[in-house]
Amino acid sequence: MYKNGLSYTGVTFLTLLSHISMLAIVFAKGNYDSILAPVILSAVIIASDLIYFFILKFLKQNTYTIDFLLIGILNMSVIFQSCFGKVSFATKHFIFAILALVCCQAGFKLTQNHRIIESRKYIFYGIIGVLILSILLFTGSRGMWIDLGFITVQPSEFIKPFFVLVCATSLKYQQNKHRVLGIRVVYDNWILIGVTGVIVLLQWWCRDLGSLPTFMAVAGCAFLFRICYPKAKLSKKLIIGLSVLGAAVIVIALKFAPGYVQERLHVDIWSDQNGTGWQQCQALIAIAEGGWFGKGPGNGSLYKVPAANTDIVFEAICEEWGLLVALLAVFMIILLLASSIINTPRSYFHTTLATGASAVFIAQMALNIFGSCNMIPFTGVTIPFISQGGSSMMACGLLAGFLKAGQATVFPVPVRPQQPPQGYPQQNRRVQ
Amino acid sequence: MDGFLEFMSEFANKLSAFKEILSAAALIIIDVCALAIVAFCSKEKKVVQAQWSRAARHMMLTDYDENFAFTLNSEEILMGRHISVDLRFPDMSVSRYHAMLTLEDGIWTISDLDSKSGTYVNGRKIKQIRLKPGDEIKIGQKTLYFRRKRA
Repeated sequence: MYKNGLSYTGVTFLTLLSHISMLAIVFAKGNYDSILAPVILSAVIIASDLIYFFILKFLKQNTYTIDFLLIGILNMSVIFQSCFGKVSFATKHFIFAILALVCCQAGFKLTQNHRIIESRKYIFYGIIGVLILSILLFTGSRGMWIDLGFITVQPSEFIKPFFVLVCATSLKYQQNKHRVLGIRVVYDNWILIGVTGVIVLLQWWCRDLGSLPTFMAVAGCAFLFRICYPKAKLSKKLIIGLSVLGAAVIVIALKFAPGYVQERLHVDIWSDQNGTGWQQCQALIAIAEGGWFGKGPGNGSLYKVPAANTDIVFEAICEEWGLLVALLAVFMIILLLASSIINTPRSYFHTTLATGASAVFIAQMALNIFGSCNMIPFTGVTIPFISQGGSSMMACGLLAGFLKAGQATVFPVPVRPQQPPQGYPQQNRRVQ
Repeated sequence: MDGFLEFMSEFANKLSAFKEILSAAALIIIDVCALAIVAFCSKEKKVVQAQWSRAARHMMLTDYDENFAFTLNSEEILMGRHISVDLRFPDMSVSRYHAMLTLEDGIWTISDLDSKSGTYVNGRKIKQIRLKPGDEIKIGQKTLYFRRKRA
């Protein structure tokens, strides 16, 4: 029995069974030297499942949907990552999966009460500033990675959840208009435009144009929500003007984009199979070789290609596990986002937060999967929770925590009752 | 330990005879698991709804002229004529963004958003006021009653 009074026996059993069925495939079709490797993998997966289900019993929440979906996806991805090339337990990925679960709880606790967080919103501008400064100062010349010796950190991944938070917290004071040079402005909106501009410039400077569409998707969602908020004063004319301006900026930017971007836009991978198109050609061939049910865990050959467990991870899973399993993994992430439609958030803050988080997930998955399948230019972004990479896993964990905050909130019920109704019932009263 | 490993390798050999069946079974189980979790979400929705209406003190807005009742289902409820608001009155006497109801610690507050025709509670023009059960709210030419839900 969990804290909300519902019994989750069936769901627990099914989640466990889905992992066990995947492990059975590893035993039956896998490529391993000794039986010890799959035994260790199964032991760790099942033990971590059971421990997590035990911990969940002590968390005080209203809904546990996101927790169950999250453990399902994360342990699936640990199984996927353990099987590339040969079955061997992916310790690093497992540790980051645990960190993602911790980050999910942290994000949930952080955004649970929006009144507290909205009164301290300037902290997040500071955090984004520090992250941007760290990129400018420590990542060497025009890179995105900070090398700490034992581990490399990608600060631009951590900007994403905090940018979503900034979008949501700046929604609160839409009525506080100030008159500047005869124009009524809301400071928060202009600060948000400024933050977006700084991030875009930073991405441009770092040559990290891959995650630019993700930020633009979040900013677009945030501004769409401004229209729905009381007296936001973003009129239709302003919206049309801003979108025309944005389109013009994109066209001009593509015209004067650096050379490597121009090349990416007009690339024909099949005419240059051994050169620039090599990675994508191998990936597309791998999908075809895998078929519906795959070659079996560890039997694929795509792991030899660079970035097989990050950028073209979807194809690597297709080859070893089959297209259907890879699509199911994506489907589970989409269900994670869709669950916030069933249990709708109860405030504008949480709605914006859930929309921003969904925008990040959808944009990243679309860029990765369509990019590696050669439908749009290929960029180096990760699939949330499936790709390897600690920074990405932790950032996505935070975003999942934001999603959870919208639907698992425990609403405060004050102890002192409101005064009894006066003259109740007065249902047919009329005041002339 | 060795015996266990031997047993496991024998087990794996036996399993490998059912490769295709296992793949199909795994697909079906993962699918059923994902859908079952989401289906369980609707059960949780009732719990959340019950807790919410306790926190919102079981209040609702009713209009006896048009015979409708609006359950207050979020912390901020925007009323007006615009298409994007939560509680919409297609009436020209109502401003696009007219008034907003907010809930904080079990107390419902109504605030006027600089509307043209003003917001009246019990016949008095207000800027912001705490609502009591049984209050009469006048928005434009619409009259609403803020009352407790019948059990």
